Amino acid sequence: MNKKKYYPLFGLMAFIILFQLFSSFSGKEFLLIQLTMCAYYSMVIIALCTLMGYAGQISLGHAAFFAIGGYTTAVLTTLNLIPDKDNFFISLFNSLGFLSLRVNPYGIEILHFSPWIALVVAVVITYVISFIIGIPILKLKGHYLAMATLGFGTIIYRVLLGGKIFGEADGISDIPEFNIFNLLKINGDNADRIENYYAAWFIVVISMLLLINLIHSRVGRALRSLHGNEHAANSIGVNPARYKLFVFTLSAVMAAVGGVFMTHFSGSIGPGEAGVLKSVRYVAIVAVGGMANIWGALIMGIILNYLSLRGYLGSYDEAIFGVILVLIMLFTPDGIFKAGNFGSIKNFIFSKIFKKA
Amino acid sequence: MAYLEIKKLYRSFGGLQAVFDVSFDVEKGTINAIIGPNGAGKTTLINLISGALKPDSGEVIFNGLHIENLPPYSIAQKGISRTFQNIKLFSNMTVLENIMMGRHVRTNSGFITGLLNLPWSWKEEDSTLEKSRMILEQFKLSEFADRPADSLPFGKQRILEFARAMSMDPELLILDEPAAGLNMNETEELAKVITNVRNSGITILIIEHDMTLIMDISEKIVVLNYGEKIAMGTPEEIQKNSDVIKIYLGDDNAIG
Ligand SMILES: Nc1ncnc2c1ncn2[C@@H]1O[C@H](COP(=O)(O)OP(=O)(O)OP(=O)(O)O)[C@@H](O)[C@H]1O
Ligand SMILES: [Mg+2]
Repeated sequence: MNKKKYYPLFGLMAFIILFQLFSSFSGKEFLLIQLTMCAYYSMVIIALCTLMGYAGQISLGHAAFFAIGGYTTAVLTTLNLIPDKDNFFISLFNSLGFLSLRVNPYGIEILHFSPWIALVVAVVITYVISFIIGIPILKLKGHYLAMATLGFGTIIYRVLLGGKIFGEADGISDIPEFNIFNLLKINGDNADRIENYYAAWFIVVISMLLLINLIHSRVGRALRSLHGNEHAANSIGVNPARYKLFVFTLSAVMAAVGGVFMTHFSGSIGPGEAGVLKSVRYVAIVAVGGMANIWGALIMGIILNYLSLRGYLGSYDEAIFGVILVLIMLFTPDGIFKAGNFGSIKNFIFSKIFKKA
Repeated sequence: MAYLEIKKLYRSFGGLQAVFDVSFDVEKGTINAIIGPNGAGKTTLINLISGALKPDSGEVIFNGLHIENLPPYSIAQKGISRTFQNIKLFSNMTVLENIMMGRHVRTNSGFITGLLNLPWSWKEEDSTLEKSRMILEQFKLSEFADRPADSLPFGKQRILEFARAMSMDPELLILDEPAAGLNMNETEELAKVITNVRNSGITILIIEHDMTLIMDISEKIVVLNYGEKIAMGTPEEIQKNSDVIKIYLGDDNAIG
């Protein structure tokens, strides 16, 4: 087995630790907050990179999956079940340990689903939704697929914006902490920010590990072959529908997991997380990171999201991601939809070198 | 019952009959050629066999199994591999990875195994790699192993596609104009390779415009014109067939 593929992971871990030490010693621990948020957004970016860069299937609706995860946990962990606590199912859930009781800042007792259950439900809901919409839309290619996923994202955005249970334009706040075996707490508490930072990056490192494994496996090769030439892949024994559906649901669920934890970290979520602008941002980051390059996507994601969250991009924030997207469209002949553009530039240079040799 | 049976295949595009009432048998371990002028329906015919197109009617029976309505990937799983007239490589992958894709149907590691890099896939990956390197060696492509597939010169790309089709250990190999764009030396080399493949027990169905090549290597030739089979027989029979001579008369592709 080739172990080289894991080396960059050690680099990532070193960076994570060094950044924490630096920020603590220089008295700038508040910087960890943005980097924690970067970690959760990175979940969407690496998931989208696998889908788009490696398997060649674009999604302009990935923010929606992040939001589905976030809103699922937000609803389940804030919905007060006290009035229904004698209901058969509620008491059953309670006796199974699915629920937890807390007192909110106004002194009101709230009986709600525990974050663990919310996480499981979020994963299941996202899987089911992505599976159901994946079957029809993954038959589409290129910009048709982009349009379909854009449409899906827009629907989710409008549902969240208009739904009473989702808090309409205000979203949902007062979301409790997610306590992982009493070891790590995911919450917005300043006192716990180092813990939060490491929890977030731990989740990213694990996800990266899984995706690196996948990319270098038999299945990963099959996914890339779909990107390279779907006809040829099909005629060599790869079932395109099956593989596309797998990578689509996987990347949707990974984005949703990012959304779940982000929501517990920030304690609130709003419909903006599902917006088209967010989806465009994710696509732009993956494209600028080099498309079929999960490390490039992760690094660009950290840098650009960090700059954005720190406010360095100012009021041009959203515009900058739009500009990035436009530039990529201009300088890669087939647009980002028929990716591999970066590959073909590389090949072009390659062929020049080899012809001379 | 023959190894591969084509029975009354029909396929039209709009008003155009691309394949019209074509039937023939292929015996195991033989080289079978499909020839005919441009637009005769040769590629359409092999697309029907490999599942890339569905027939309007008719049957394709391989090893006693009806395959005419199966999708390409399950036909590949039955042991049929093919190349394309307009080369279709995985342009985003290296030469070696292209070959490794040929092993897809011969290996099993699935989604969960991939995500977790489970130990039982390691051996499989090693043997995929080993077998692929052997194929590269065999097709004299080793020096290009780590180059992007589409950075190869055209002739090498054709050979790579052939090698990829071979790396799946096919039972039936379908080649669509494998000599197109090759120079004379490469074509001679190709003839040897094809004969060797046949000698190893693999059945071959080949479309080619290079008549010297076809007459040299094939056991049986099917001639198509305007979608219809107009002749079938050994190279000697085909060269004497008056209908065939008529079609090729005045054409640059004189038989001989
Ligand atoms: N997908 C398609 N849609 C419409 N017409 C098609 C399609 N594929 C093939 N045809 C038409 O069917 C006829 C047969 O085409 P086919 O490609 O099978 O010929 P061929 O014998 O392989 O020719 P060549 O020697 O030029 O490769 C042609 O007239 C072609 O234009
Ligand atoms: Mg043809």
